[in-house]
Amino acid sequence: MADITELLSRWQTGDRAAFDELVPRVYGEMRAIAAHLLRSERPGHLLETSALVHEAYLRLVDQTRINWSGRAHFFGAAANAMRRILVDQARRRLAGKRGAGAVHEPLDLAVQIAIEPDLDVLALNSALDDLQSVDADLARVVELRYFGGLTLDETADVLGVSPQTVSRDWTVARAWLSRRLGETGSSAGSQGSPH
Amino acid sequence: MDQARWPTVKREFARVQEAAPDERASLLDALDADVRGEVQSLLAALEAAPPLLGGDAGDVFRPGAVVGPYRLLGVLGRGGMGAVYRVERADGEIPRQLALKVAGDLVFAPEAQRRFIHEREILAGLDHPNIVRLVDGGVAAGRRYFVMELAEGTPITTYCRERQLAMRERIRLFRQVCAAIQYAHQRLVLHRDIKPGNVIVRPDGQVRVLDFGIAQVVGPETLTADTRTVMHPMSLACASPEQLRGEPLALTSDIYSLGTLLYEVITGVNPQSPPGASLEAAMRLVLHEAPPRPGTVSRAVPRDLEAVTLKALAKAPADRYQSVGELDADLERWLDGRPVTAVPPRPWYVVSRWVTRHKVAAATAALALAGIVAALGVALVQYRQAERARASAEARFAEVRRLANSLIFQFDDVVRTRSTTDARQRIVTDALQYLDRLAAEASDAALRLELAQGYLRVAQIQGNPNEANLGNTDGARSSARKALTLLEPLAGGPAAAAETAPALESVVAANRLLSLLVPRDEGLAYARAALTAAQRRVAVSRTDEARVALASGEFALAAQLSDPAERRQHFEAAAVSSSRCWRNGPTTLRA
Repeated sequence: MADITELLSRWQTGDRAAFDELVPRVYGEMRAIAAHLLRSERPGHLLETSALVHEAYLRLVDQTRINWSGRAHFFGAAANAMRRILVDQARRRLAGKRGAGAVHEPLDLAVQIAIEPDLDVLALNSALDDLQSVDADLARVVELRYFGGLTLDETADVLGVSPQTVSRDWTVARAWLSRRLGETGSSAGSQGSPH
Repeated sequence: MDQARWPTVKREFARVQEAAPDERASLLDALDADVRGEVQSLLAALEAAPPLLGGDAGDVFRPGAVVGPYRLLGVLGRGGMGAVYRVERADGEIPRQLALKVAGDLVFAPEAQRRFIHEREILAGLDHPNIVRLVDGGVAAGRRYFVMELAEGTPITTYCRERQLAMRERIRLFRQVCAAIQYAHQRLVLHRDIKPGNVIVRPDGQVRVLDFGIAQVVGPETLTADTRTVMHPMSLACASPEQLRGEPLALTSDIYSLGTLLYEVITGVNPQSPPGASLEAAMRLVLHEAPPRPGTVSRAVPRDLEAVTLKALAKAPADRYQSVGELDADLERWLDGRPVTAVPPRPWYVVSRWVTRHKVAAATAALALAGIVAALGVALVQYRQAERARASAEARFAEVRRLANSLIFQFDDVVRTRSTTDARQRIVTDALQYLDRLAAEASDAALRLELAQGYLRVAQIQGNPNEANLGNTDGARSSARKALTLLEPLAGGPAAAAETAPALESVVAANRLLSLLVPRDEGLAYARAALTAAQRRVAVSRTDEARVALASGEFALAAQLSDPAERRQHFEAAAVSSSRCWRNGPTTLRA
């Protein structure tokens, strides 16, 4: 099985199939890392997504074999994987609340990723899907900043644009998402299509 | 509907949103009705955005605004952790300008807030002239802020460069940084982000350390959790290897960062981020590669300072200074022209430092006869003893620890770095258990030597009167005797010099220690045994080190003798032995 560094290199050189293989791998590895970190932390400790993403980079990618643009690609994939993890976690919680039989994935027992308590991840995920179809660049900024936990500067690095552009896009995206969430009501997101 | 119009809407929204409030109306009026409607609805949505999608601190905290009792005058800096503003009291209550820090820009509010409050708590507990002081705190527009002393000045590295400070002035300045960090460490606060931008020198030459934003309180209850937390923000240029690897951090991590700062202060170049290096290259530098010797970067750097800097920058925490106090003491020694501990104490080195310090005395010494040479040798030997005790403490323990397959010597960070009496006691108990178990079946010569050295080191910790010890004289005697028993077959036989010399060295050390730990008449026998072993050592290994040890042995015996004739005989022998080494010194040791 190709390792993550190799998949990244292939993706960079234009192999789309490598991305399709990469994201689930990163997803799996990041869950494993999260579970491991939480086992070694005190109970109740919250993981930050940005910490998880950076940790994953250090652990999964052979830094001697990857260049700067490979790093950007990794953060892209990791932010995407993080989004899936959070959405899956929210779905399982919802299923649990509805009494649809608790889904005891080992990770679910352990992982508590630090998110705003009031946040409806599923609603946001769904609104983000909508934004994706209107303006993919904006959606990407949100994915990196929100789900990847990257700072403005890091996001700019990954996207290869100036921090000013990211800052402006971030503001526009916030306005757009806020309007969208207002229109649909936060419950609509629960039926959001899987990403 | 809006797909085709979207690029225009996006552009115009950004333009209006960034404009000053009083210009917005005219900008909006100039737009097409359709676009205007879209832009207005987005503006309204942004105003009403839920906390998650809430804005950056910059939306609320603008220069000119009044936050609590403070008026914002300008932005001092922005970063991942928030923004810092120059402020003044709007009511003029405090005449000075201050710095106001507000959390922001991090999407994950809970963590950012937690860390922010944490910094405030840490600052509140620190009161030191070289650390910025906390003045006030509060909440405005739903955001927490705190106000601290405004550190106006330039980063220490810029300050040194711009004023072209002499090396001694640079070191004096740097010692203020040591004072601040040492103070924080004494309160168990790790700074974790020591870098030029966080060390400001005011125009009057006073240093202020700031930004305890990712500082950490080290304590039993946080040791397993917080200090281990993965990948806090940090600056690669000053990060320690263990920090980069996300390992638990001890005080020695700050000492490494101080090393990177010292390196830059004396050479003008950061050791870990050479211009143009890629991120990966820089990471490799931090993790694996020793930085270029400071002297090769700047010829103005003396050898001793180079050694001090490189010791602080050792990749393995155990090889570094174990406290800021030790680093600072070496810098003070350098300023005083005394030998620094970072340089291995070779006789010629010590003598040359002594000569630099006491030019007149050295001239006299050159004229004087054996007695003075002996005195010099003794100073040197005493120095060596103190040094050896300390250096071997680390080296021997490193070896024994390797053998102990990590289980026995796994004491935690706090213990390792602070080395309290309790901790030492624990180390000794554990080490003895381990040594006793292995000694019972030690047949291999190398292992016997290793074990003997281990016992000897334990004995030193238990009761060497020349260093901090546990006051356990009985235990020290017993350990030293065990060492001698193990050494007997090694040092006695006609084995090759390479194998015998280290054993003899330990025999000397064990006998010397015992001579100090027993009644005087009994001690004499040990002193003689030490001397015999030292003589044999010189016979098998004609090194200056061995000669110095012999001189030291002669001298130690002489000091314990009461018969004047015999005493003089040994004093003279000490003089001869050390003068031989003294005469050889400059030529053999300098090379």
